[in-house]
Amino acid sequence: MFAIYKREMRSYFTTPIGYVFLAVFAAVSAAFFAHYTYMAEKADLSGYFRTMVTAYVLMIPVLTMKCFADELKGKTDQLLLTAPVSITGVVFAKFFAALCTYMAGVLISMINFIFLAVNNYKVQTGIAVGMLLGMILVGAACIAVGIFISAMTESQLVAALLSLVVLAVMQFTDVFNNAIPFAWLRTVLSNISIGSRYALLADGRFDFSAILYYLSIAGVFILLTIRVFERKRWH
Amino acid sequence: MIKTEHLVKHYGKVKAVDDISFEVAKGEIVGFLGPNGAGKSTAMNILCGYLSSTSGKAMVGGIDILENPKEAKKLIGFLPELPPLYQDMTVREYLNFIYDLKGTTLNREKHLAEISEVTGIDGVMNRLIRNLSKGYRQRVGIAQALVGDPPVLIFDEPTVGLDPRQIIEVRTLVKSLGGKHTIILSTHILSEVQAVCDRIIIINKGKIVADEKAATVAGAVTNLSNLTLKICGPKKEIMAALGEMDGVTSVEDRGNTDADSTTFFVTCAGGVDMRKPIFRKMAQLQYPIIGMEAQGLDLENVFMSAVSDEEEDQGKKRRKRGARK
Repeated sequence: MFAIYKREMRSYFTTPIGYVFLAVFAAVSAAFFAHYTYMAEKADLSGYFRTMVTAYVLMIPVLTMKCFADELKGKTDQLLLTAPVSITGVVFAKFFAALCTYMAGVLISMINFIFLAVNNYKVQTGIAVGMLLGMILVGAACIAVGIFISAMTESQLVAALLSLVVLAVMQFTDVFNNAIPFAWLRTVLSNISIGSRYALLADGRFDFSAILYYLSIAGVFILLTIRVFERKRWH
Repeated sequence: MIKTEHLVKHYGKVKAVDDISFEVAKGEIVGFLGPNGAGKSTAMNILCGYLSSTSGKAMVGGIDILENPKEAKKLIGFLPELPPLYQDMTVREYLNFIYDLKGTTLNREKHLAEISEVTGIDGVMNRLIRNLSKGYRQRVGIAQALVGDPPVLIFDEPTVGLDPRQIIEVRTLVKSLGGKHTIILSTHILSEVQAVCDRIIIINKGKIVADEKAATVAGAVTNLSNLTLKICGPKKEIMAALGEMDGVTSVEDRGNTDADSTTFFVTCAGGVDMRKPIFRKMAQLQYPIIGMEAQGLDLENVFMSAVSDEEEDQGKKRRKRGARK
């Protein structure tokens, strides 16, 4: 499993994908951070957090599009699935590689806090930590969704576009949810809506239900990805 | 070493593998022979644990591939139809990755050096796989299967896309791996199994239609009851002279090959080698023989007859079904 993780990390950083992702992540986070904090002359991080996680709709698909699509295209999935490694191991290795690359982005974006300090704004450590944790959790959930979609197609482009659409739906359903006339559909949509739980984390509150929610979204999609490959075997 | 019992695999309504049972002893090289789409690859993929069988059992080294896939897979080196290569890696990086992936415990440097030497890729170790020619990619694919020194090797069409020299090299390599390793290789090239395998399993439409020792099939090649002769001289006289000989049962005129020679197809009584008597007779009559060939049952014929028997049977069934309707 570690071998696959290592190869995956390597492939992020021997191709431009890893660097592009990190550069875009750093640039976007810096811009939003500046916009919502010292340019607005506030030390309130919730606006920054909300906008950042919304931007994941565009950024995460770049990270996950080639995860399995590339393996399927090059038929290297045959290598992984006939090696003495479990399917679960393969999927988790891919997931953690994407998550680590993503977390490197989050880590880089923490440079922004230095500018806050330089400009003499005071941010509560608790809120900052809660927010970072939130970013990682939402990111993990989005990555799991992206990996699941990548496992269903041979084309990176299709994987990227489809992930983009699915993530957009999951993020923005709560925006137009009230316009839906059916109560049951509203309930369903709000339950799959990643966006509906931001508020709990955006304030930097340590909300257990939100944490559990994002973890379970990640878990469900990882499980679904494993199922995709098991199903493929049984056809 | 390898054992399958009543393997069946459905793809939707299509039966890709239909009740295949066979056993392969340790050190044996077995050739899967069959036309394209016969179910060879599917059977191999089931053995390697890439696909699951709809029913039936596949065991490698006594371990059921479905019950204990991890242990069973440790025993297998697999080269799929398309070598599973990562284009963005160098050969060295790739083999190191495979080494880690398989959890190999042999001395890394020594083991990989040995494999690269055996497969003839030691000169391209630092090149990107993307830039390799088809022949080298195939070899890297074989090298990948050899990492970890697995006792069972499964090669799906290992010589496809190679040039004639590379084909011979790969065959020699496979042959040299036999004995120490148990090998199954698939191909639709008849001469290949003849050259490499101890045993031949012919598969058509998902079923085993023949399972024979290669030596038995090779024996059929030296069948001397049918001779094709090219002789210069007057057609009628030659026909008569051949027909008169003891041991010759029939002579057939196959037409002129060029201005002054004719091709004859001679059937001889079983067990009699008529080549020398015919030569002496023609020499005596001063009709030079410019070509003589024993046209026995070669593998091609064995294969064609095995495959077409099957088709005839199915044709009959189909006709019967049609009649019932």
